[in-house]
Amino acid sequence: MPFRRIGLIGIVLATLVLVAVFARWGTRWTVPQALAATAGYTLRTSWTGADARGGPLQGPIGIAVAPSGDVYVTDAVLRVVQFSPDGRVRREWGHEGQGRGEFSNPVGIAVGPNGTVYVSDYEQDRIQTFSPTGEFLMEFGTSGSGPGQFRSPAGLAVDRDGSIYVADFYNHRVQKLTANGAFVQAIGRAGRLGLGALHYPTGVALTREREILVADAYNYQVQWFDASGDAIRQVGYHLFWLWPRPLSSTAGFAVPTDAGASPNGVIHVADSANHRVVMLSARGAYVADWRIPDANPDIYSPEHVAISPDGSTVYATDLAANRVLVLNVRMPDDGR
Amino acid sequence: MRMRTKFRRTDHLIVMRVTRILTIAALVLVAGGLRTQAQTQSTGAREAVVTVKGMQCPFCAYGIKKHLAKIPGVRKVEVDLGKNQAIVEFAPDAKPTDEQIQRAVHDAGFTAGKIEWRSTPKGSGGTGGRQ
Repeated sequence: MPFRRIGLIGIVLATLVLVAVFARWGTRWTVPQALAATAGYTLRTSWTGADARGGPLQGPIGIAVAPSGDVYVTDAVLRVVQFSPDGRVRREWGHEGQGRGEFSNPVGIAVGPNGTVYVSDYEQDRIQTFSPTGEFLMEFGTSGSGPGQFRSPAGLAVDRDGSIYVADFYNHRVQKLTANGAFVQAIGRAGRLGLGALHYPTGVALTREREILVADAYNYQVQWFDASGDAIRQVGYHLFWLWPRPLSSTAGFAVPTDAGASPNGVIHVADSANHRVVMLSARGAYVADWRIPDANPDIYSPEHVAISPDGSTVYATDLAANRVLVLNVRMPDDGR
Repeated sequence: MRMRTKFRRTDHLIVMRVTRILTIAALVLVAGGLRTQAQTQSTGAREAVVTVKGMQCPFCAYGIKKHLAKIPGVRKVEVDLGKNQAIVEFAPDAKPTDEQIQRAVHDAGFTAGKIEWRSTPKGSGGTGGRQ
């Protein structure tokens, strides 16, 4: 009887090992120390939006940088706040409601190549678009799981051709839409194992090679998809969703909620449960990280990141502290 | 014998006075209590304070808020990430149950812990906004 039990345990363990190996249960980061020594972040300043008419930022979550360098932020006052690159509030728009230019919970924000601003409403399951100065342009999306429908749209990205990418949180997928909001394709599938499986994605971004980066928050990883929507790479120690705990600096992510790519290829990740921003090479090797020094341990932050057009600055929303963190980026020596 | 009768009359008078004082005191207390109750429950609404363990991620907290808001009769939902709490306010005529709250939290990907019911204090009406 004991032998039978030991045999059974052995079979279970062997099966787990096989699944871990063949299901590609995430990858550990490679850590090129030489690169990490020169690269990193320094906190330049933080913005609270104290000069905004509607009051300072409260629970900022979404952030995007326009081609002009202006920074757009969504917050809990149910509005969009537009900052100049030096942190002055230019304008703000939006209030509670179901109509045009009104929000219940604006979470994601992106700016297209022509300056059009896209805002996702997590509660209303729709996306609204605005001119760079906040005039309502159009809206699309309804509640549901069908093509073009959303269940809590979170992070957004816009391609150079105007295609829109939406991290569809409760549908565990990313949707690609045309510039007019028509459904093109679903990227990724609901799941915990293997390339392409997504579990509560919260952020999406595009690389200079037009790959699609997805912050696969509750699979504890970032995934790359090619332009046709096929999964090509995953980074982050995925095994840990079985045993979630704060991870050490180079072992992986804990609830990565957003990622963004610099013009020179470097990738920045909002590693929210570790309260830090992580820099990766274009292929996902760890380069450096920066921790929020006075982070609130009870709230995951930063939530979203955005990168200046020249790649020298990373902006991160710190919902817990009602501010935007402005980080100077020291690039790796080889520019990757 | 006389002494005893006199004593009994005095005793009766004291009892009468004490009873009168106690009655007045009781009436004052009841009146005060009723007024306090009228002040704190004048909205007639109830709210549930729901503990949701592990609610530290804003995306999850907003998901919980969204699902709770779909329960019939909900007037307002607030989430407090730091305290792991969601406060759900119901209209006076709503008949919410613990099961409805547990199901909503479950649909949002979490498990509801302790649910505490209390009357909604007067003037607690929301001003909107994402909390």
